[in-house]
Amino acid sequence: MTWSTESTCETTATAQAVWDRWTTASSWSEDDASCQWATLEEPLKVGSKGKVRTTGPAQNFTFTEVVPLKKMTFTISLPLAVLAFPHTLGAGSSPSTVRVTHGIVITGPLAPVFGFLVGRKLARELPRVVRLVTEHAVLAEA
Amino acid sequence: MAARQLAALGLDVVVLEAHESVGGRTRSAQVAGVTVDLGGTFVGPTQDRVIALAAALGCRTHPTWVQGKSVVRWHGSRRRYSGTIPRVPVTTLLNTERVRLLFDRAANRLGADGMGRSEQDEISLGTWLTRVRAGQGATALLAAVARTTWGCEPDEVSLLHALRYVKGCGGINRMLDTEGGAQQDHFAAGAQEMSLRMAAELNVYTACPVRSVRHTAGEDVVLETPHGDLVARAVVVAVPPAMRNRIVFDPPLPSGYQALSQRWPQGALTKAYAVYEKPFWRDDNLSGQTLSDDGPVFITLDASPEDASRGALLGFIGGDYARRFDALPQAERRLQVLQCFAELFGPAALQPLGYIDQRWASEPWIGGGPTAHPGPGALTGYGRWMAEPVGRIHWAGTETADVWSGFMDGAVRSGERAATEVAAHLAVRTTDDEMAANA
Ligand SMILES: Cc1cc2nc3c(=O)[nH]c(=O)nc-3n(C[C@H](O)[C@H](O)[C@H](O)COP(=O)(O)OP(=O)(O)OC[C@H]3O[C@@H](n4cnc5c(N)ncnc54)[C@H](O)[C@@H]3O)c2cc1C
Repeated sequence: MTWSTESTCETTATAQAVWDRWTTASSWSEDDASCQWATLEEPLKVGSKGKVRTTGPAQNFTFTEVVPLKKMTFTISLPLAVLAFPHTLGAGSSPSTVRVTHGIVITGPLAPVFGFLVGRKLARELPRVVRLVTEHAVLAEA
Repeated sequence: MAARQLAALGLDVVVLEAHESVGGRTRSAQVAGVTVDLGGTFVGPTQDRVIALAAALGCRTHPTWVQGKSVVRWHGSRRRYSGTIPRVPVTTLLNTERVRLLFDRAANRLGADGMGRSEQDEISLGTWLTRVRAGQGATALLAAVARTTWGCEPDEVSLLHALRYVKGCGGINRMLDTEGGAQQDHFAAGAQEMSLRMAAELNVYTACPVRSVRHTAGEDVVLETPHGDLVARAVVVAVPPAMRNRIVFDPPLPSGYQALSQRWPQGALTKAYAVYEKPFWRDDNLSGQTLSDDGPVFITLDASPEDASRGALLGFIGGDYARRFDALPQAERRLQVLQCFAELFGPAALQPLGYIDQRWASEPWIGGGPTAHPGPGALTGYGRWMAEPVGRIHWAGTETADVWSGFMDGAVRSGERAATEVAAHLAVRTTDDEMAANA
Protein backbone atom coordinates (compact mmCIF):
# COMPACT_ATOMS: atom_id res chain seq x y z
CA MET A 1 0.00 0.00 0.00
CA THR A 2 1.19 3.51 -0.76
CA TRP A 3 0.28 6.95 0.54
CA SER A 4 1.87 9.91 -1.23
CA THR A 5 1.80 13.65 -1.75
CA GLU A 6 4.08 16.24 -3.30
CA SER A 7 4.56 19.97 -3.67
CA THR A 8 6.30 21.76 -6.53
CA CYS A 9 7.48 25.28 -7.03
CA GLU A 10 9.51 27.10 -9.61
CA THR A 11 12.40 29.31 -8.59
CA THR A 12 15.10 31.53 -10.04
CA ALA A 13 17.65 29.79 -7.79
CA THR A 14 20.13 27.61 -9.67
CA ALA A 15 19.98 23.84 -9.46
CA GLN A 16 23.33 23.95 -7.68
CA ALA A 17 22.03 26.28 -4.95
CA VAL A 18 18.97 24.09 -4.37
CA TRP A 19 21.11 20.95 -4.38
CA ASP A 20 23.47 22.50 -1.82
CA ARG A 21 20.49 23.34 0.36
CA TRP A 22 19.11 19.79 0.12
CA THR A 23 22.38 18.13 0.91
CA THR A 24 23.35 20.29 3.88
CA ALA A 25 21.47 18.46 6.60
CA SER A 26 22.46 21.01 9.23
CA SER A 27 20.28 23.61 7.47
CA TRP A 28 17.14 21.48 7.19
CA SER A 29 15.79 22.90 10.45
CA GLU A 30 15.81 26.39 8.86
CA ASP A 31 13.61 25.20 6.03
CA ASP A 32 11.31 22.86 7.89
CA ALA A 33 9.64 24.05 11.09
CA SER A 34 9.01 20.47 12.21
CA CYS A 35 12.72 19.59 12.09
CA GLN A 36 14.72 20.35 15.24
CA TRP A 37 18.04 19.20 13.86
CA ALA A 38 19.53 16.86 11.31
CA THR A 39 23.00 15.53 10.68
CA LEU A 40 24.58 13.55 7.90
CA GLU A 41 27.12 11.18 9.33
CA GLU A 42 29.07 10.36 6.18
CA PRO A 43 29.71 11.80 2.71
CA LEU A 44 26.62 11.86 0.53
CA LYS A 45 26.08 8.74 -1.58
CA VAL A 46 23.49 6.03 -1.87
CA GLY A 47 23.49 4.23 1.45
CA SER A 48 24.90 7.03 3.55
CA LYS A 49 23.15 7.59 6.86
CA GLY A 50 22.14 10.43 9.10
CA LYS A 51 19.95 11.34 12.03
CA VAL A 52 16.97 13.68 12.18
CA ARG A 53 14.90 14.85 15.11
CA THR A 54 11.38 16.12 14.63
CA THR A 55 8.81 15.87 17.43
CA GLY A 56 9.71 12.50 18.90
CA PRO A 57 13.08 10.85 19.45
CA ALA A 58 15.81 11.18 16.81
CA GLN A 59 15.38 8.86 13.83
CA ASN A 60 17.86 7.35 11.43
CA PHE A 61 17.55 8.10 7.76
CA THR A 62 19.28 6.57 4.77
CA PHE A 63 19.86 8.02 1.31
CA THR A 64 18.39 5.65 -1.28
CA GLU A 65 18.84 7.81 -4.38
CA VAL A 66 21.50 10.42 -5.11
CA VAL A 67 21.76 11.91 -8.61
CA PRO A 68 23.61 15.22 -8.19
CA LEU A 69 21.64 18.27 -9.36
CA LYS A 70 18.70 16.03 -10.33
CA LYS A 71 17.24 14.03 -7.50
CA MET A 72 17.79 12.61 -4.07
CA THR A 73 15.67 10.52 -1.75
CA PHE A 74 16.11 9.52 1.83
CA THR A 75 13.99 7.12 3.81
CA ILE A 76 13.02 6.54 7.42
CA SER A 77 11.86 3.12 8.57
CA LEU A 78 8.65 2.95 10.54
CA PRO A 79 6.97 -0.16 11.98
CA LEU A 80 5.54 -1.96 8.92
CA ALA A 81 6.04 1.10 6.72
CA VAL A 82 8.79 3.14 5.04
CA LEU A 83 8.63 6.92 4.87
CA ALA A 84 10.46 8.25 1.80
CA PHE A 85 11.24 11.85 0.95
CA PRO A 86 11.94 12.13 -2.79
CA HIS A 87 13.35 15.47 -3.98
CA THR A 88 13.54 16.27 -7.70
CA LEU A 89 14.94 19.12 -9.72
CA GLY A 90 13.71 19.73 -13.26
CA ALA A 91 13.68 22.32 -16.00
CA GLY A 92 11.54 25.37 -15.31
CA SER A 93 9.19 27.14 -17.72
CA SER A 94 12.00 29.50 -18.69
CA PRO A 95 15.76 29.02 -19.01
CA SER A 96 16.29 31.10 -15.87
CA THR A 97 14.16 28.93 -13.59
CA VAL A 98 14.13 25.41 -12.18
CA ARG A 99 11.29 23.27 -10.86
CA VAL A 100 11.72 21.94 -7.37
CA THR A 101 9.55 19.09 -6.09
CA HIS A 102 9.45 17.62 -2.62
CA GLY A 103 7.42 14.49 -2.09
CA ILE A 104 6.36 12.23 0.75
CA VAL A 105 5.75 8.57 -0.04
CA ILE A 106 4.72 6.08 2.60
CA THR A 107 4.78 2.42 1.60
CA GLY A 108 4.05 -0.80 3.46
CA PRO A 109 1.07 -2.42 5.14
CA LEU A 110 0.57 0.47 7.56
CA ALA A 111 0.96 3.20 4.91
CA PRO A 112 -2.66 4.45 5.19
CA VAL A 113 -2.36 4.63 8.98
CA PHE A 114 0.90 6.58 8.89
CA GLY A 115 -0.50 8.69 6.04
CA PHE A 116 -3.32 9.70 8.35
CA LEU A 117 -1.19 10.09 11.47
CA VAL A 118 1.98 11.70 10.07
CA GLY A 119 1.55 12.27 6.35
CA ARG A 120 -1.30 14.77 6.51
CA LYS A 121 0.58 17.09 8.84
CA LEU A 122 3.78 16.81 6.79
CA ALA A 123 1.77 17.41 3.61
CA ARG A 124 0.33 20.60 5.04
CA GLU A 125 3.81 21.91 5.73
CA LEU A 126 5.29 20.76 2.43
CA PRO A 127 4.58 23.87 0.29
CA ARG A 128 6.13 26.05 2.99
CA VAL A 129 9.21 23.82 3.17
CA VAL A 130 9.71 23.91 -0.61
CA ARG A 131 9.31 27.69 -0.59
CA LEU A 132 11.81 28.16 2.23
CA VAL A 133 14.33 25.86 0.53
CA THR A 134 14.10 27.88 -2.67
CA GLU A 135 14.15 31.24 -0.88
CA HIS A 136 17.27 30.27 1.05
CA ALA A 137 18.85 28.95 -2.15
CA VAL A 138 18.14 32.26 -3.91
CA LEU A 139 19.51 34.28 -1.00
CA ALA A 140 22.64 32.12 -0.81
CA GLU A 141 23.45 33.19 -4.36
CA ALA A 142 22.49 36.86 -3.98
CA MET B 1 -4.38 68.04 4.93
CA ALA B 2 -3.24 70.30 7.78
CA ALA B 3 -1.45 72.51 5.24
CA ARG B 4 -4.53 72.77 3.04
CA GLN B 5 -6.71 73.77 5.97
CA LEU B 6 -4.22 76.30 7.36
CA ALA B 7 -3.64 77.80 3.90
CA ALA B 8 -7.41 78.18 3.57
CA LEU B 9 -7.29 80.27 6.76
CA GLY B 10 -4.91 82.63 4.99
CA LEU B 11 -1.75 81.45 6.73
CA ASP B 12 1.52 81.21 4.86
CA VAL B 13 2.19 77.46 4.76
CA VAL B 14 5.09 75.50 3.32
CA VAL B 15 5.10 71.68 2.94
CA LEU B 16 8.46 69.93 3.12
CA GLU B 17 8.40 66.37 1.78
CA ALA B 18 11.41 64.04 1.95
CA HIS B 19 10.40 61.81 -0.97
CA GLU B 20 10.58 62.99 -4.57
CA SER B 21 6.79 63.05 -4.79
CA VAL B 22 3.95 63.76 -2.38
CA GLY B 23 1.52 61.07 -1.26
CA GLY B 24 3.53 59.18 1.37
CA ARG B 25 1.92 55.80 1.90
CA THR B 26 -0.42 56.50 -1.01
CA ARG B 27 1.48 56.02 -4.23
CA SER B 28 0.01 55.14 -7.60
CA ALA B 29 1.76 53.59 -10.59
CA GLN B 30 0.96 52.59 -14.15
CA VAL B 31 1.33 48.93 -15.05
CA ALA B 32 0.48 47.90 -18.62
CA GLY B 33 -1.76 50.94 -18.88
CA VAL B 34 -3.57 50.33 -15.59
CA THR B 35 -3.37 52.66 -12.61
CA VAL B 36 -2.63 50.68 -9.47
CA ASP B 37 -2.31 51.81 -5.87
CA LEU B 38 0.88 50.61 -4.26
CA GLY B 39 -0.16 51.77 -0.78
CA GLY B 40 -3.45 53.12 0.56
CA THR B 41 -6.18 52.08 -1.85
CA PHE B 42 -9.67 51.51 -0.48
CA VAL B 43 -12.25 53.65 1.27
CA GLY B 44 -15.58 52.70 2.75
CA PRO B 45 -18.56 53.75 4.85
CA THR B 46 -17.91 56.00 7.88
CA GLN B 47 -14.56 57.11 6.44
CA ASP B 48 -16.30 60.43 6.08
CA ARG B 49 -13.34 62.76 6.15
CA VAL B 50 -11.34 61.14 3.36
CA ILE B 51 -14.51 60.71 1.31
CA ALA B 52 -15.31 64.42 1.78
CA LEU B 53 -11.77 65.39 0.83
CA ALA B 54 -11.90 63.20 -2.29
CA ALA B 55 -15.20 64.78 -3.28
CA ALA B 56 -13.85 68.29 -2.69
CA LEU B 57 -10.84 67.52 -4.87
CA GLY B 58 -12.90 65.81 -7.57
CA CYS B 59 -11.21 62.41 -7.06
CA ARG B 60 -13.70 59.77 -8.18
CA THR B 61 -14.07 56.33 -6.61
CA HIS B 62 -15.74 53.18 -7.89
CA PRO B 63 -16.88 50.01 -6.15
CA THR B 64 -14.41 47.19 -5.65
CA TRP B 65 -15.36 44.17 -7.77
CA VAL B 66 -17.10 41.52 -5.63
CA GLN B 67 -19.29 39.63 -8.10
CA GLY B 68 -18.69 35.91 -8.34
CA LYS B 69 -17.29 33.37 -5.94
CA SER B 70 -14.35 33.85 -3.66
CA VAL B 71 -11.64 31.26 -3.13
CA VAL B 72 -10.08 29.99 0.05
CA ARG B 73 -6.88 27.97 0.08
CA TRP B 74 -6.76 26.20 3.40
CA HIS B 75 -4.55 23.31 4.47
CA GLY B 76 -3.43 22.89 0.89
CA SER B 77 -6.87 22.56 -0.71
CA ARG B 78 -8.66 25.23 -2.71
CA ARG B 79 -12.39 25.87 -2.38
CA ARG B 80 -14.85 28.35 -3.79
CA TYR B 81 -17.45 30.04 -1.64
CA SER B 82 -20.16 32.67 -1.93
CA GLY B 83 -20.68 35.55 0.48
CA THR B 84 -18.27 36.63 3.16
CA ILE B 85 -17.83 33.37 5.09
CA PRO B 86 -14.90 31.33 3.74
CA ARG B 87 -15.27 27.57 3.33
CA VAL B 88 -12.90 26.55 6.07
CA PRO B 89 -13.77 23.72 8.48
CA VAL B 90 -16.95 24.45 10.47
CA THR B 91 -15.10 24.20 13.78
CA THR B 92 -12.68 26.87 12.56
CA LEU B 93 -15.57 29.11 11.52
CA LEU B 94 -17.44 28.70 14.78
CA ASN B 95 -14.30 29.34 16.77
CA THR B 96 -13.40 32.37 14.66
CA GLU B 97 -16.86 33.83 15.14
CA ARG B 98 -16.62 33.22 18.89
CA VAL B 99 -13.21 34.94 18.98
CA ARG B 100 -14.51 37.82 16.86
CA LEU B 101 -17.43 38.35 19.25
CA LEU B 102 -15.11 38.26 22.26
CA PHE B 103 -12.78 40.71 20.56
CA ASP B 104 -15.50 43.13 19.45
CA ARG B 105 -17.08 42.96 22.92
CA ALA B 106 -13.74 43.81 24.58
CA ALA B 107 -13.23 46.63 22.05
CA ASN B 108 -16.68 48.05 22.76
CA ARG B 109 -15.95 48.07 26.48
CA LEU B 110 -13.00 50.42 26.08
CA GLY B 111 -13.50 53.81 27.70
CA ALA B 112 -14.47 56.92 25.74
CA ASP B 113 -10.77 57.78 25.50
CA GLY B 114 -10.21 54.45 23.80
CA MET B 115 -8.24 53.14 26.74
CA GLY B 116 -8.97 49.88 28.47
CA ARG B 117 -7.41 47.94 31.31
CA SER B 118 -3.65 48.19 31.55
CA GLU B 119 -3.45 44.35 31.60
CA GLN B 120 -4.74 44.45 28.03
CA ASP B 121 -1.61 46.33 27.06
CA GLU B 122 0.61 43.84 28.88
CA ILE B 123 -0.13 41.07 26.41
CA SER B 124 0.00 40.71 22.67
CA LEU B 125 -2.90 39.82 20.44
CA GLY B 126 -1.17 36.45 19.96
CA THR B 127 -1.11 35.74 23.71
CA TRP B 128 -4.77 36.70 23.95
CA LEU B 129 -5.64 34.29 21.13
CA THR B 130 -3.96 31.51 23.10
CA ARG B 131 -5.77 32.54 26.29
CA VAL B 132 -9.20 32.46 24.65
CA ARG B 133 -8.29 29.08 23.10
CA ALA B 134 -8.70 30.35 19.58
CA GLY B 135 -7.28 27.11 18.17
CA GLN B 136 -5.15 26.64 15.10
CA GLY B 137 -7.69 27.61 12.44
CA ALA B 138 -9.02 30.77 14.08
CA THR B 139 -5.47 31.80 14.97
CA ALA B 140 -4.44 31.40 11.34
CA LEU B 141 -7.38 33.53 10.20
CA LEU B 142 -6.61 36.22 12.76
CA ALA B 143 -2.93 36.11 11.85
CA ALA B 144 -4.02 37.02 8.30
CA VAL B 145 -5.94 39.93 9.80
CA ALA B 146 -2.89 41.10 11.78
CA ARG B 147 -0.63 40.84 8.72
CA THR B 148 -2.88 43.04 6.60
CA THR B 149 -4.02 45.42 9.33
CA TRP B 150 -0.70 46.13 11.03
CA GLY B 151 1.80 44.35 8.82
CA CYS B 152 2.89 42.13 11.71
CA GLU B 153 2.33 38.80 13.39
CA PRO B 154 -0.24 38.61 16.22
CA ASP B 155 2.59 38.35 18.77
CA GLU B 156 3.95 41.73 17.73
CA VAL B 157 0.98 43.93 18.50
CA SER B 158 -0.44 44.89 21.88
CA LEU B 159 -3.93 43.53 22.53
CA LEU B 160 -5.06 46.93 23.80
CA HIS B 161 -3.78 48.64 20.68
CA ALA B 162 -5.56 46.08 18.49
CA LEU B 163 -8.82 46.59 20.40
CA ARG B 164 -8.57 50.36 20.24
CA TYR B 165 -7.68 50.29 16.58
CA VAL B 166 -10.58 48.04 15.63
CA LYS B 167 -12.98 50.07 17.77
CA GLY B 168 -11.89 53.18 15.86
CA CYS B 169 -12.97 51.41 12.66
CA GLY B 170 -16.38 50.42 14.03
CA GLY B 171 -15.64 46.72 14.57
CA ILE B 172 -13.85 43.85 12.86
CA ASN B 173 -16.43 43.37 10.10
CA ARG B 174 -16.50 47.05 9.17
CA MET B 175 -12.71 47.01 9.02
CA LEU B 176 -12.42 43.84 6.93
CA ASP B 177 -15.46 43.74 4.69
CA THR B 178 -15.54 44.82 1.09
CA GLU B 179 -19.24 45.66 0.67
CA GLY B 180 -20.20 47.88 3.60
CA GLY B 181 -16.62 47.85 4.86
CA ALA B 182 -13.27 49.56 4.44
CA GLN B 183 -12.53 47.88 1.08
CA GLN B 184 -15.82 48.96 -0.54
CA ASP B 185 -14.50 51.50 -3.07
CA HIS B 186 -11.27 52.56 -4.65
CA PHE B 187 -10.00 55.52 -6.60
CA ALA B 188 -10.36 55.53 -10.37
CA ALA B 189 -7.13 57.48 -10.86
CA GLY B 190 -5.37 56.17 -7.75
CA ALA B 191 -5.39 57.40 -4.15
CA GLN B 192 -2.25 59.47 -4.61
CA GLU B 193 -4.29 61.82 -6.78
CA MET B 194 -5.66 63.42 -3.60
CA SER B 195 -2.18 64.46 -2.44
CA LEU B 196 -1.16 65.54 -5.95
CA ARG B 197 -4.21 67.78 -6.26
CA MET B 198 -3.69 69.28 -2.83
CA ALA B 199 -0.02 69.84 -3.57
CA ALA B 200 -0.91 71.71 -6.77
CA GLU B 201 -2.66 74.30 -4.62
CA LEU B 202 0.07 74.54 -1.98
CA ASN B 203 3.66 75.62 -1.63
CA VAL B 204 5.39 72.21 -1.62
CA TYR B 205 9.07 71.28 -1.69
CA THR B 206 9.71 67.63 -2.54
CA ALA B 207 12.98 65.73 -2.07
CA CYS B 208 13.39 68.01 0.91
CA PRO B 209 13.77 66.02 4.14
CA VAL B 210 13.63 67.95 7.39
CA ARG B 211 16.79 67.05 9.27
CA SER B 212 16.25 69.08 12.40
CA VAL B 213 13.65 71.17 14.15
CA ARG B 214 15.04 73.82 16.50
CA HIS B 215 13.07 76.04 18.84
CA THR B 216 14.64 79.49 18.90
CA ALA B 217 14.78 81.88 21.83
CA GLY B 218 12.45 84.09 19.86
CA GLU B 219 9.88 81.31 19.91
CA ASP B 220 10.12 80.48 16.26
CA VAL B 221 11.09 77.09 14.95
CA VAL B 222 13.87 76.62 12.47
CA LEU B 223 13.64 73.64 10.12
CA GLU B 224 16.90 72.50 8.64
CA THR B 225 16.72 70.91 5.19
CA PRO B 226 19.39 70.07 2.58
CA HIS B 227 18.14 73.08 0.64
CA GLY B 228 18.46 75.57 3.47
CA ASP B 229 16.74 76.58 6.69
CA LEU B 230 13.15 77.62 7.03
CA VAL B 231 11.85 79.73 9.90
CA ALA B 232 8.24 79.15 10.97
CA ARG B 233 5.91 80.08 13.77
CA ALA B 234 4.72 76.51 14.16
CA VAL B 235 5.41 73.14 12.59
CA VAL B 236 3.19 70.12 12.02
CA VAL B 237 5.26 66.95 11.94
CA ALA B 238 3.16 64.43 9.99
CA VAL B 239 5.54 61.49 9.64
CA PRO B 240 5.07 57.90 10.91
CA PRO B 241 5.99 57.66 14.62
CA ALA B 242 9.14 55.64 13.92
CA MET B 243 10.32 58.32 11.48
CA ARG B 244 10.19 61.07 14.12
CA ASN B 245 13.50 59.74 15.37
CA ARG B 246 15.16 60.58 12.07
CA ILE B 247 14.64 64.26 12.86
CA VAL B 248 16.95 65.94 15.36
CA PHE B 249 14.92 68.04 17.78
CA ASP B 250 16.64 70.87 19.59
CA PRO B 251 16.09 70.96 22.49
CA PRO B 252 15.64 67.20 22.45
CA LEU B 253 12.11 65.92 22.84
CA PRO B 254 11.18 64.72 26.31
CA SER B 255 12.18 61.07 26.77
CA GLY B 256 8.64 59.75 26.39
CA TYR B 257 8.50 61.04 22.83
CA GLN B 258 11.77 59.36 21.95
CA ALA B 259 10.62 56.07 23.47
CA LEU B 260 7.37 56.36 21.54
CA SER B 261 9.28 56.61 18.31
CA GLN B 262 11.32 53.53 19.19
CA ARG B 263 8.43 51.46 20.48
CA TRP B 264 5.93 52.12 17.67
CA PRO B 265 7.64 50.42 14.72
CA GLN B 266 6.08 50.34 11.29
CA GLY B 267 4.71 47.03 10.03
CA ALA B 268 5.75 45.17 6.91
CA LEU B 269 3.05 45.01 4.25
CA THR B 270 4.00 44.55 0.62
CA LYS B 271 1.59 44.78 -2.26
CA ALA B 272 1.98 43.05 -5.62
CA TYR B 273 -0.04 43.55 -8.78
CA ALA B 274 -0.21 41.52 -11.97
CA VAL B 275 -2.01 43.05 -14.92
CA TYR B 276 -3.62 40.87 -17.60
CA GLU B 277 -5.28 41.34 -21.00
CA LYS B 278 -8.63 40.94 -19.22
CA PRO B 279 -9.95 39.87 -15.80
CA PHE B 280 -10.02 36.22 -16.93
CA TRP B 281 -11.09 34.92 -13.49
CA ARG B 282 -14.43 36.66 -13.94
CA ASP B 283 -15.21 34.27 -16.85
CA ASP B 284 -14.88 31.49 -14.30
CA ASN B 285 -17.34 33.32 -12.01
CA LEU B 286 -14.56 34.24 -9.57
CA SER B 287 -14.52 37.56 -7.74
CA GLY B 288 -10.75 37.71 -7.46
CA GLN B 289 -11.07 37.73 -3.66
CA THR B 290 -9.14 34.98 -1.96
CA LEU B 291 -7.84 34.09 1.44
CA SER B 292 -5.02 31.65 2.08
CA ASP B 293 -3.45 30.12 5.18
CA ASP B 294 -0.10 30.07 3.42
CA GLY B 295 1.92 32.76 1.71
CA PRO B 296 3.60 34.66 0.54
CA VAL B 297 0.40 36.11 -0.96
CA PHE B 298 -2.35 35.39 1.53
CA ILE B 299 -5.11 37.78 0.40
CA THR B 300 -6.02 38.85 -3.12
CA LEU B 301 -8.52 41.27 -4.61
CA ASP B 302 -9.62 42.22 -8.10
CA ALA B 303 -8.20 45.69 -8.75
CA SER B 304 -9.14 45.92 -12.43
CA PRO B 305 -10.13 49.24 -13.92
CA GLU B 306 -13.84 50.04 -13.78
CA ASP B 307 -14.38 49.33 -17.48
CA ALA B 308 -12.55 45.98 -17.21
CA SER B 309 -10.41 47.01 -20.17
CA ARG B 310 -7.64 45.06 -18.43
CA GLY B 311 -7.54 42.66 -15.50
CA ALA B 312 -5.54 43.47 -12.37
CA LEU B 313 -4.98 41.15 -9.43
CA LEU B 314 -3.74 42.61 -6.18
CA GLY B 315 -1.93 40.40 -3.68
CA PHE B 316 -1.02 41.24 -0.08
CA ILE B 317 2.14 39.93 1.54
CA GLY B 318 2.42 40.89 5.19
CA GLY B 319 4.21 40.26 8.49
CA ASP B 320 6.85 37.51 8.44
CA TYR B 321 5.95 36.64 4.85
CA ALA B 322 6.80 40.19 3.81
CA ARG B 323 10.06 40.21 5.75
CA ARG B 324 11.26 37.14 3.84
CA PHE B 325 9.72 38.14 0.51
CA ASP B 326 11.17 41.65 0.62
CA ALA B 327 14.71 40.25 0.86
CA LEU B 328 14.37 38.32 -2.41
CA PRO B 329 15.49 39.60 -5.81
CA GLN B 330 12.76 41.02 -8.04
CA ALA B 331 12.65 38.05 -10.43
CA GLU B 332 12.05 35.60 -7.58
CA ARG B 333 9.41 37.84 -5.98
CA ARG B 334 7.55 38.05 -9.29
CA LEU B 335 7.73 34.29 -9.75
CA GLN B 336 6.45 33.61 -6.23
CA VAL B 337 3.52 36.00 -6.61
CA LEU B 338 2.53 34.66 -10.03
CA GLN B 339 2.69 31.08 -8.73
CA CYS B 340 0.39 32.05 -5.85
CA PHE B 341 -2.02 33.69 -8.30
CA ALA B 342 -1.85 30.60 -10.56
CA GLU B 343 -2.68 28.27 -7.67
CA LEU B 344 -5.77 30.37 -7.00
CA PHE B 345 -6.89 31.35 -10.50
CA GLY B 346 -5.27 28.85 -12.86
CA PRO B 347 -2.23 28.85 -15.17
CA ALA B 348 -3.37 31.97 -17.10
CA ALA B 349 -2.17 33.95 -14.08
CA LEU B 350 1.42 33.02 -14.97
CA GLN B 351 1.37 35.21 -18.10
CA PRO B 352 0.71 38.82 -17.09
CA LEU B 353 1.25 41.87 -19.28
CA GLY B 354 2.94 43.57 -16.38
CA TYR B 355 3.93 43.11 -12.76
CA ILE B 356 4.87 45.43 -9.92
CA ASP B 357 5.42 45.12 -6.20
CA GLN B 358 6.00 47.71 -3.53
CA ARG B 359 7.98 46.92 -0.40
CA TRP B 360 7.03 49.60 2.10
CA ALA B 361 9.42 48.38 4.75
CA SER B 362 12.33 49.47 2.60
CA GLU B 363 11.04 53.01 2.08
CA PRO B 364 13.58 55.18 3.90
CA TRP B 365 11.14 57.94 4.92
CA ILE B 366 8.20 55.70 5.77
CA GLY B 367 9.79 52.60 7.25
CA GLY B 368 6.90 50.24 6.57
CA GLY B 369 3.20 49.95 6.46
CA PRO B 370 0.35 50.04 6.50
CA THR B 371 0.82 51.54 9.92
CA ALA B 372 2.59 51.19 13.26
CA HIS B 373 2.26 48.07 15.44
CA PRO B 374 3.09 48.95 19.05
CA GLY B 375 3.92 45.83 21.04
CA PRO B 376 2.89 45.14 24.63
CA GLY B 377 3.39 48.10 26.93
CA ALA B 378 3.90 50.68 24.20
CA LEU B 379 0.39 52.11 24.18
CA THR B 380 -0.07 52.73 27.90
CA GLY B 381 3.62 53.53 28.27
CA TYR B 382 4.04 56.08 25.51
CA GLY B 383 0.79 56.50 23.58
CA ARG B 384 -0.07 59.71 25.40
CA TRP B 385 2.77 61.49 23.63
CA MET B 386 1.53 60.58 20.19
CA ALA B 387 -0.33 63.84 19.51
CA GLU B 388 0.57 66.06 22.48
CA PRO B 389 2.28 69.22 21.13
CA VAL B 390 5.76 70.17 22.33
CA GLY B 391 6.10 73.94 22.22
CA ARG B 392 5.52 74.94 18.62
CA ILE B 393 5.72 71.37 17.37
CA HIS B 394 2.38 69.74 16.57
CA TRP B 395 1.90 66.15 15.47
CA ALA B 396 -0.27 64.69 12.74
CA GLY B 397 -0.34 61.52 10.68
CA THR B 398 -2.76 58.62 10.70
CA GLU B 399 -1.24 57.06 13.85
CA THR B 400 -2.31 60.13 15.84
CA ALA B 401 -6.00 59.68 14.90
CA ASP B 402 -8.56 58.11 17.23
CA VAL B 403 -10.94 57.13 14.44
CA TRP B 404 -9.78 55.08 11.45
CA SER B 405 -6.21 55.36 12.71
CA GLY B 406 -3.90 53.60 10.26
CA PHE B 407 -6.13 54.47 7.29
CA MET B 408 -6.23 57.39 4.89
CA ASP B 409 -9.32 58.63 6.71
CA GLY B 410 -7.34 58.76 9.97
CA ALA B 411 -4.61 60.70 8.19
CA VAL B 412 -7.11 63.29 6.98
CA ARG B 413 -8.74 63.53 10.41
CA SER B 414 -5.34 63.99 12.05
CA GLY B 415 -4.50 66.79 9.62
CA GLU B 416 -7.75 68.53 10.40
CA ARG B 417 -7.13 68.18 14.13
CA ALA B 418 -3.56 69.47 13.86
CA ALA B 419 -4.69 72.43 11.72
CA THR B 420 -7.30 73.42 14.31
CA GLU B 421 -4.66 73.08 17.02
CA VAL B 422 -2.11 75.21 15.15
CA ALA B 423 -4.70 77.85 14.25
CA ALA B 424 -5.72 78.11 17.90
CA HIS B 425 -2.09 78.13 19.01
CA LEU B 426 -1.16 80.89 16.57
CA ALA B 427 -4.31 82.91 17.39
CA VAL B 428 -3.47 82.78 21.11
CA ARG B 429 0.15 83.71 20.37
CA THR B 430 -0.95 86.50 18.07
CA THR B 431 -3.29 87.88 20.73
CA ASP B 432 -0.52 87.58 23.34
CA ASP B 433 1.91 89.33 21.02
CA GLU B 434 -0.60 92.11 20.31
CA MET B 435 -1.30 92.54 24.02
CA ALA B 436 2.41 92.68 24.74
CA ALA B 437 2.89 95.25 21.96
CA ASN B 438 0.00 97.33 23.26
CA ALA B 439 1.15 97.15 26.88
C1 LIG C 1 0.43 48.55 1.57
C2 LIG C 1 -0.50 49.54 2.19
C3 LIG C 1 -1.87 49.41 2.00
C4 LIG C 1 -2.74 50.32 2.57
N1 LIG C 1 -4.09 50.21 2.30
C5 LIG C 1 -4.94 51.16 2.74
C6 LIG C 1 -6.29 51.18 2.31
O1 LIG C 1 -6.71 50.37 1.48
N2 LIG C 1 -7.10 52.15 2.81
C7 LIG C 1 -6.65 53.10 3.69
O2 LIG C 1 -7.43 53.96 4.09
N3 LIG C 1 -5.36 53.11 4.09
C8 LIG C 1 -4.49 52.18 3.63
N4 LIG C 1 -3.17 52.23 3.98
C9 LIG C 1 -2.73 53.20 4.97
C10 LIG C 1 -2.66 54.61 4.41
O3 LIG C 1 -1.92 54.62 3.22
C11 LIG C 1 -2.00 55.48 5.45
O4 LIG C 1 -2.73 55.42 6.64
C12 LIG C 1 -1.94 56.96 5.07
O5 LIG C 1 -1.53 57.15 3.75
C13 LIG C 1 -0.98 57.66 6.03
O6 LIG C 1 -0.88 59.01 5.71
P1 LIG C 1 0.02 59.95 6.64
O7 LIG C 1 -0.05 61.30 6.00
O8 LIG C 1 -0.36 59.81 8.04
O9 LIG C 1 1.49 59.37 6.56
P2 LIG C 1 2.42 59.08 5.30
O10 LIG C 1 1.59 58.79 4.11
O11 LIG C 1 3.38 58.04 5.75
O12 LIG C 1 3.16 60.45 5.04
C14 LIG C 1 4.27 60.83 5.77
C15 LIG C 1 5.18 61.59 4.84
O13 LIG C 1 6.24 62.15 5.60
C16 LIG C 1 7.40 62.10 4.79
N5 LIG C 1 8.55 62.24 5.69
C17 LIG C 1 9.06 61.36 6.57
N6 LIG C 1 10.10 61.89 7.23
C18 LIG C 1 10.26 63.14 6.74
C19 LIG C 1 11.17 64.19 7.02
N7 LIG C 1 12.13 64.06 7.94
N8 LIG C 1 11.06 65.34 6.32
C20 LIG C 1 10.08 65.51 5.39
N9 LIG C 1 9.20 64.55 5.09
C21 LIG C 1 9.28 63.39 5.76
C22 LIG C 1 7.31 60.77 4.09
O14 LIG C 1 8.11 60.75 2.94
C23 LIG C 1 5.83 60.71 3.78
O15 LIG C 1 5.54 61.23 2.51
C24 LIG C 1 -2.26 51.36 3.39
C25 LIG C 1 -0.89 51.51 3.55
C26 LIG C 1 -0.01 50.62 2.96
C27 LIG C 1 1.47 50.82 3.12
